[in-house]
Amino acid sequence: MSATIVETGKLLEASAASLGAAILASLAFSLLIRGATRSTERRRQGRAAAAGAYAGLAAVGALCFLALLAAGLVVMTSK
Amino acid sequence: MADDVTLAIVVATALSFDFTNGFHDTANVVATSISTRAASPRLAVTMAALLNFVGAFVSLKVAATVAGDIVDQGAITLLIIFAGLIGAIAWNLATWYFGLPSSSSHALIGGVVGATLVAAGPDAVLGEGLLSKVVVPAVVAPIVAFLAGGAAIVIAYRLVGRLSPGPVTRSFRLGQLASGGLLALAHGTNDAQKTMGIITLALIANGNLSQGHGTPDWVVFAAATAIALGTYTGGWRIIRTMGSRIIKMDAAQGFSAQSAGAATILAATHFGYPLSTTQVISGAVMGAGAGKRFSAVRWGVAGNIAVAWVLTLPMSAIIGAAVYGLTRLFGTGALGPVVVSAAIVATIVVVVLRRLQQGSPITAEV
Repeated sequence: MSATIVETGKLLEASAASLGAAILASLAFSLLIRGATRSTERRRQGRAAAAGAYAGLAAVGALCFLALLAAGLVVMTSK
Repeated sequence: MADDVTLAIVVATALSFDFTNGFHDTANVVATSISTRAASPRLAVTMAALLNFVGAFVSLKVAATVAGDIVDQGAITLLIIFAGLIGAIAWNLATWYFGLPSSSSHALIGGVVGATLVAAGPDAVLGEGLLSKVVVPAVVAPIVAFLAGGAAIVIAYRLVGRLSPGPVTRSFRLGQLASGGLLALAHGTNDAQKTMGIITLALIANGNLSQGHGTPDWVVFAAATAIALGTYTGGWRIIRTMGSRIIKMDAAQGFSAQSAGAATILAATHFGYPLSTTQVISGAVMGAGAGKRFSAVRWGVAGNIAVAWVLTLPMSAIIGAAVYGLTRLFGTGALGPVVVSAAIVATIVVVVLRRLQQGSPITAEV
């Protein structure tokens, strides 16, 4: 009875989604910062290839973070 | 159109509650941004107020669900709504005075439940709805947000911990503008709709609207304006607690707490669980602190906040019940709400005047 009222499975799914989204947001933004900072440092050192690779990492982080923001807006407008 | 005077008082009280909701919950959105200096206090509350206003228009689909799953809608009267709102406002003001972030939504639900219990008896309170929609999420949400905030900060420190602190701090501050903006929008969407739902319910109870009628445009605009004005006014006592008394926050922790809070609220929304924004953000702030070092969290302050969470439903229910009982002494017409409203307004005026005489009120200088 209490399992039906509380819907344990759905609650666990929501909790897992919350944790997953928070971890992804932090991961994406941290990668963006790490990529951008290291890219700048490598460029100053004249290491163009490494700078380019880190810039790519920053771009991936930025895209993931923007995608998460967009997903948040979609959830908000569609509920 | 049974009683337009009572209806007018209920609408005014609902908008007052909406104002205190914005005022009380500003901290959820802006405290982390202010304490990490991602934004100045005035800029942060202005942005939060604007986004709360916009958020109120984003979606209207949950506007009438506040009391629907908690109490029998057939038992709802204008006096019950009035008493419930007074219970919620009183608890919001009491917790604001002590600088405690507590849930405005739970205060509203508690007030309505208390008034309904006295007015229509226990059968009119839907126990299953109360358990599944309020009690269980109230226990689970802060824990999930705590874990999410902790996990987010551990990842952030691991990835950026060895980088030069200047650019990292500036970047996380920039990120906080995005995560804080998302939180403010989510808050406007969720909380302004609760007031819209209450006013719509009052209009239906008074016979101005038929059952199943959508939320009128003027209700949407009024609720959005009230919550935005309340947010702009800013509950600085709670901002101070949330921003610097639970943990001493750096920009990475601020970003992690806001991201974890937004992620928890939006994931729960997606799965149909209404959550308290306050509980989620408080949990995420504690998690972001504990993720750095467990002893970084001031657990005494956290304990006080937890006590306020536990007390919110019963205390607002007791106040709601007492106000209903008091109102009914004057019959079922408008006299009860008029007398109670006049007494409350007089009390507020006296308190404000005494405060102005004693010294300056708490302002944006946090």
